[in-house]
Amino acid sequence: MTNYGQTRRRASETVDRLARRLETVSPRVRRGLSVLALFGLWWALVRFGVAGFAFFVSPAETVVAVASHLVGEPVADGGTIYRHAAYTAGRVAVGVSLAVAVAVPMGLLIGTSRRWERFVYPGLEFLRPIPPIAWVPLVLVIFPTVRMGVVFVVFLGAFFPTLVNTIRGVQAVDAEYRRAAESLGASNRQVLTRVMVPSALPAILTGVTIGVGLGWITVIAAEMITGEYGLGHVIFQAYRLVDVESVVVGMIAIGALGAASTALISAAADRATPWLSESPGVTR
Amino acid sequence: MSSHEETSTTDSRGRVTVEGLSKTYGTGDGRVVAVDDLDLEIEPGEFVTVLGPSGCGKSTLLDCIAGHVEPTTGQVTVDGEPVSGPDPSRGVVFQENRLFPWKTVRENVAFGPTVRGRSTDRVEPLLERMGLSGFADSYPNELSGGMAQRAELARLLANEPAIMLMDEPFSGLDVMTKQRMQVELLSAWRKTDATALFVTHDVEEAILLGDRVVVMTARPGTVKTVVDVPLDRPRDHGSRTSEAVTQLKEHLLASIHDEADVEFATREPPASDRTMSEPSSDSEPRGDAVGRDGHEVGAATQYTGEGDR
Repeated sequence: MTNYGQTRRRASETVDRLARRLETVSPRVRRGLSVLALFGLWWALVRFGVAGFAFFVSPAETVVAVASHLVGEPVADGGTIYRHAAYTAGRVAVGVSLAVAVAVPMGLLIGTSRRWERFVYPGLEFLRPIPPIAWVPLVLVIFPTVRMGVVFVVFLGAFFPTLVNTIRGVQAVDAEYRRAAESLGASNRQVLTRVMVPSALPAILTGVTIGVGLGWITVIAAEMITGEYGLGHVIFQAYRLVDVESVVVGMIAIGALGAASTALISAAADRATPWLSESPGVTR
Repeated sequence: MSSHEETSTTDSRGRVTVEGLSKTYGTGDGRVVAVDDLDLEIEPGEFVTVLGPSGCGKSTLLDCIAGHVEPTTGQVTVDGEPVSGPDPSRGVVFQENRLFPWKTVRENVAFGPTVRGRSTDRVEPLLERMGLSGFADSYPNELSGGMAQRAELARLLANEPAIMLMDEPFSGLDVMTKQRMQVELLSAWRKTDATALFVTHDVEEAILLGDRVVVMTARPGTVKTVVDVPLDRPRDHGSRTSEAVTQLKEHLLASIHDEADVEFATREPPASDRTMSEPSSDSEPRGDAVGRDGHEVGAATQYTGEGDR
């Protein structure tokens, strides 16, 4: 008991010491180490055949595969990885943009008006729990082209988180800011554009960030079902052809694009809300 | 002859008349009468302070004049016009700082003129005068408490309101900053023709700032007494210790503690409404309690503000 406790304490001290030493390493190197560790784990899993990993490709094979696809070797149906990635990214961009364009104004309306909240929100609340993917069969029937259908499913994925966060953000706006603006001579419209929107902006951006994430999830799933083009289709096609390398190439492409879009959104959000990033210069 | 009269009426911009004002919140058992049949007349260019115990409806009175709260009965008129909503001619400084956090200090100060489509030429000199030039591009969360209140005052002044309404604007500041801000407010106000209404529960503050001090009764709030302040202007820190102030302070403390005692005897669970529950006295410096015989020391601490000086 005591021994176990001591060992544990010693172990945790060692971990602490290592962590402290890690903190002296530059952030860039630390990030590199994290990726390296992931590759190490992957290599070990394949090398020792843990679970079904014996059938999986090793990091080395993958690097070769990725390199060959990067220089233009087709992945599925004769399309290059770039072509498929462009389709997928384009669907996410269009779907999310449409979702933001509809959800933000609608959220402002619902968040500021009781009447709109009463009439519009209950219906939306009924639709919200339906996973976007469940719409795919219906969407394939309704929409004339698969492309439009997939975009619509992405739209659904991004729409609800953006809407809900916009509504919450608007409803959380401190009434005193509104009063202050009105006392300074702001019209209702100016209160909306100069007080409600900027005050709710951090919440809205959180919604958009979640929406982009869900957009990626739904686009891949939708493409797996609908086929034609896109990284989801690449992965599913490769799975059917037992082309494990292409599966991994597709996954890596999704990971890279997802990370890039997250970085893009977060940089845009920082720029849009400069007052949040400033550190307090003087303590109150 | 009539032209002279007309001139004098335009000069006397900013007369506030409160007639039979009552405000009730809630219904049934939760019904709270915040203000009851209150009459008050404020002359153009006058500085009136409103002094009263916690929850006496001082903020409600100010909210009604600002047009943010509609009276249950009675009415507020400004220069003969009934108040029906907020208006830039009646500027407000809030108890909690209400600078827009998403705007820089300069943008905050320019907010009023900008939304009204007026010139923002006054903004820069105003920033300078209020000692904010170095912080013009800072966001409010980078300012100290005193600096933030100064910026809010500048935002109000940029709009050139006929009436300045201030709801315990300095109650969250430390004593030193608070005293400086009081003198700065006086000098800023002297440069305007504005009528000023200043709500406080700090006796010294009420005397130092006001031409008249309106003492309110405990809930339901109404005017208990109105006291003239026999102090010349300009006033400064030295005025605090003058004989007149000391005597008036004693008089007002006695008056207000009668009310505080009523409040203590009939204390109810705090009402949910903002105007009903004054902020905790924690933000208030706790000077030595004025041990007035027969009065609870706790109550005394709450109103002496900076102790007995």
